[in-house]
Amino acid sequence: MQDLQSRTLRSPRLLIAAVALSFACLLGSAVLMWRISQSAEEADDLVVHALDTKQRIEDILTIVTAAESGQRGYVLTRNPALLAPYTSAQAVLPERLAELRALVADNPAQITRVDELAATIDARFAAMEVTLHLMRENRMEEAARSIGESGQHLMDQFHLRIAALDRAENQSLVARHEEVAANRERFVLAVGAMLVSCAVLTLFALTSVRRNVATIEASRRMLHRQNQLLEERVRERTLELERAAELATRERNRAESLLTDVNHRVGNNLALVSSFLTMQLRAVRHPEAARALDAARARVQAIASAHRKLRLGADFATVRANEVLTAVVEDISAGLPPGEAIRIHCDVAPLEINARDAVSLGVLTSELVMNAVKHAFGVGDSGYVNVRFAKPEESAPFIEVADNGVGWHGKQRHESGSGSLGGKIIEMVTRQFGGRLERAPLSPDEQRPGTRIRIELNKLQLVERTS
Amino acid sequence: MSAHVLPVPQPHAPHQEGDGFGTAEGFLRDVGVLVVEDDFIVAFDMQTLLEEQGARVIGPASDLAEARAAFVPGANVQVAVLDVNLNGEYVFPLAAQLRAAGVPFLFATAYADDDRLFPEELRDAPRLSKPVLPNALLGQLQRLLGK
Repeated sequence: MQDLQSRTLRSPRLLIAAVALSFACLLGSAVLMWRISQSAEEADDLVVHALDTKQRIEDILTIVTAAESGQRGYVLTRNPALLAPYTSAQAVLPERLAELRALVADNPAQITRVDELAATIDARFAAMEVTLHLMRENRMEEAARSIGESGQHLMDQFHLRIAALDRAENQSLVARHEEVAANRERFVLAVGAMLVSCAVLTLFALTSVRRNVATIEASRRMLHRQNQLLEERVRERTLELERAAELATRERNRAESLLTDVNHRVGNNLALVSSFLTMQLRAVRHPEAARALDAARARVQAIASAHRKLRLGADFATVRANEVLTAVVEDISAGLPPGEAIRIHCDVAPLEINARDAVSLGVLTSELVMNAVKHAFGVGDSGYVNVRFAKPEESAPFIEVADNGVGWHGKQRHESGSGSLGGKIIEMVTRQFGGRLERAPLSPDEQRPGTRIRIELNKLQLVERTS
Repeated sequence: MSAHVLPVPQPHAPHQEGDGFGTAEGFLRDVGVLVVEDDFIVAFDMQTLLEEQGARVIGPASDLAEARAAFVPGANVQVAVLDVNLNGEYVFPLAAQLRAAGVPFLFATAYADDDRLFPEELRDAPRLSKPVLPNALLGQLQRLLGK
């Protein structure tokens, strides 16, 4: 990571410098080429100008030569037709000279030469005019002499001047040619520089691209490595979690099986107690003692019935009232002698209660039901006992045991012996639940009014069902 | 709300204390009952109760090997009362053997409510939870023997 950062930081600086340099070089070359093309154009103009000037010099030479030849011919032959070039030259020359002068206006040396040429031409024409004048006065000898005197000299001078002018123009042409050659060299140089710049730029572009590709490749590889590392970690963590979950499940199963084992032992120990009571029951002869032992065995049974339902609730902490009470009532029913004509009806709301309250509620229910079964009916009587457990909206949960037996005033004699212990147990458990016992005839007007006992269980906690 | 009516048979016997099944001349007269129970006191109590009804008690066997040794054709087992957990070993192999031989049986166990513990093919056998009340045991045996 460190190496990658420093590389990405260093390389752009170098790259930018190189690219900027190459661009400057390219721009310089472009400006140079523009200027070279400009000066080449100028040089071309100058060449054209020089050739033009040479043409003008040539023209003047021709005109003057023609005028001179015509004048001489006239002097020799006196044929006036031969004077035509002379007269037309007199008309044309000032104009031609003016043009030449304009052409060489930028060159003071040439201007001087043109001026000198013009002076020579003027002198020559003046001399020719003198000769013609002498001829017109028929002074032929004088005229012929004048040609020989000044004419030759002036013409030589004229030719010299023309040659000087022409030479100057030729020199300027040569100079132009040299300049063009130099320009060509510079042009080649500029193109070379451009090519080099482009090559350098291309090189840098290539290097840069290669480096970028390498960087991208490196980051990709690093990302891949990091991903692998991450995946590995996730795998490890998942494995750890799985192991933890497995451990938790194993521990939970172990705890559950331990609890099952303990419950089993409690059941077996209660069976042992019950067996002791049964054996003792067999051993005693006194009916009152036998009744007491039987009642004790029924109480142990009630505890066992409630207890074996405890482990069915969530987390063993709670249990449903209907499971407990139905088990208690079922066991009472199963323990009744065969041929008993009393039906026990159970109507219990599936309310969730704390495990610690379950056994007490089971014992209370057992006492109430046993009491009804034993005392409410005569020998061979048929009847029913109804057990209800519910929670009205506005008040505490209650348990109600009702029978259609003889009614509680009718069987006073059963309030002694084991019956009074049952009453005491009912009273104590009622108090434990902060309750209040109401006893009333079920249907007061009938011959068998029956009994209805209702106990409000103010302190019985109901647990909100979570599942 | 759960509501159900618990069945109580025949409306003619007296309902006072006592078993209501009569004396040594009871309905189990000469019936061979195999008792498998690892707790000696509970086993003795059960044996006494059954013999009161005239039964011929085979056992009580306190482990699986003993029970298998006792369950031979000569012993003439007609019905069996089985504890489920015999000091850590389960009685189910013997139950399967009894089932194969057509001998009816019931489980008397503190595990009566734990369905998962019982093999699927044995879940239809009657179960009595411990402590087993005498009348409940006798009533169930009566039903199994069809008497």
